[in-house]
Amino acid sequence: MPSSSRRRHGRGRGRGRRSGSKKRNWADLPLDAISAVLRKLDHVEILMGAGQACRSWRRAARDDPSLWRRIDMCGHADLFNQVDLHGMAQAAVRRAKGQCEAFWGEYAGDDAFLLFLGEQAPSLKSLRLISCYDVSNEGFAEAIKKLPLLEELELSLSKNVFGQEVFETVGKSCPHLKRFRLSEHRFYSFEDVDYNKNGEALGIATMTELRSLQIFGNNLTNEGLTAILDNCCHLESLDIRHCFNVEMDNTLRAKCAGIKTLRLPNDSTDDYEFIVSNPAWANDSQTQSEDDFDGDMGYDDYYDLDTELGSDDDIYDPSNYIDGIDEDDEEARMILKGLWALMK
Amino acid sequence: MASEKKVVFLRSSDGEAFEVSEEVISAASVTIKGMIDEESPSRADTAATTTLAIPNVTAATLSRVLHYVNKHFDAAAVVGRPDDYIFCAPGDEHPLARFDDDFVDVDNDTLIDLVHAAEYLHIKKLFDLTCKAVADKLKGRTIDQIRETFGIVNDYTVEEEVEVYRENSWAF
Repeated sequence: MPSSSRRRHGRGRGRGRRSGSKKRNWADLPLDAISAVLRKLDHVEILMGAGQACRSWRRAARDDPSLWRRIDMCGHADLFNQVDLHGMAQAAVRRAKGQCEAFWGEYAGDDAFLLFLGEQAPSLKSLRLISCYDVSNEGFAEAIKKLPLLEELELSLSKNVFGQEVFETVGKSCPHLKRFRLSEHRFYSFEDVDYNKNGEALGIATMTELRSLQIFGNNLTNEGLTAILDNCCHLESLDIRHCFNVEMDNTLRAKCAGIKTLRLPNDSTDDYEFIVSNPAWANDSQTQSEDDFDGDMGYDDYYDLDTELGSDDDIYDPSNYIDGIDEDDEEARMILKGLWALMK
Repeated sequence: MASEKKVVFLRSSDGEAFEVSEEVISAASVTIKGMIDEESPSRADTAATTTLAIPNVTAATLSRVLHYVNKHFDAAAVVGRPDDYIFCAPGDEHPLARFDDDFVDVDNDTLIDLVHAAEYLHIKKLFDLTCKAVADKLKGRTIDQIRETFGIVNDYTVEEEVEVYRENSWAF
């Protein structure tokens, strides 16, 4: 019987009987322990708090490149107007001393940062950029050429990286790319005659080693999807929810037969990571949207915090964010109000 | 032949002795297992129990550590005690999650003592648990709040202060 093993010899439960009333010094924790604690914090927390509290904590945070091998700066969009998140991202990558294998940034990363990343992290395997509006096609294409070992790439809500050419550059530069994600809040139908709905799909079709692909709310049509399916023969997972220009016919279904996880345009978005807005159709007769859609404004205003404001505008005026949002987009309004409360 | 359960005594830095199953503590603590292994040739065929000195851990902390160890490493006790599961719906996390939460719900000094003890005794699960608890206390706090809450003194020299400022230019 195991229960016999836990009897105490000396009495005294120890509680309330604190031997040694000396105040413990957190700075004296063994380096192992400080490192272990830091590993349980995210990188923004380390850079903004614990990693600067005193010498020993700073040393543990700064001089251990392995702590910075997988940098995750997601979940801190609220800091965008308080600190220079791009600069913070550089500081994080610098600490990895060339060993950085993953960088995930939300609102953290612009062209200059990406070029820095390309130089400092030649062995990068995973790059996720979410809501990084300061990244442009040119900057991104330049940087991606220096990241030949990339296996995972996400460019969600980062709408200034777009079009066929830049994705072809990815296909050419990253022969090991296995996972790609290009996701939006909303399907927005472009009906302009000059717009190639399948440009991005044709670019993606050059990423021939893909195992997993998510393109949410993209304009691709059956033609674009066919190009992807014909060229990316190893796909195991495909998510094209809210890609409403695709009509799943028998030909497409047959091509998808080998794909283990398939999410189709009309499938549930319950488990989607980002906010989903109603689709917006340019052609009135097709309107499915309840939103009060007004031309080129409206579909992305609320997450485009940075470009919306001139430097002299009052960034603390919530009307700067709330104006221009669809009347019906209650969720977006709530988020902005939350952001506003945080910034106060 | 089923032998008697062996026990060892651990003597804290302030002289209190605690009894614990040798099997359980060996499974939990790399440090104590090493001590027992060193002792074992000399006591192989004696009935005498061993007392090991744990000079770095006070009775108050050691008693807590053993409470944890008995809960987590006494396999028969863990499986055989329905009360650990009573609040756990199927699909819930580890049945001891609730115990763990309560275990680290202590004041800062006690927590730090536990981290030190877990590190010294090399009890990985306890070390992870307590470091996680420390991290949770640091989350969402500014540098000043961290210093104040945990009594950390800003020990930077002027040069270091300048260096820190430069490193953190993104913050200004």
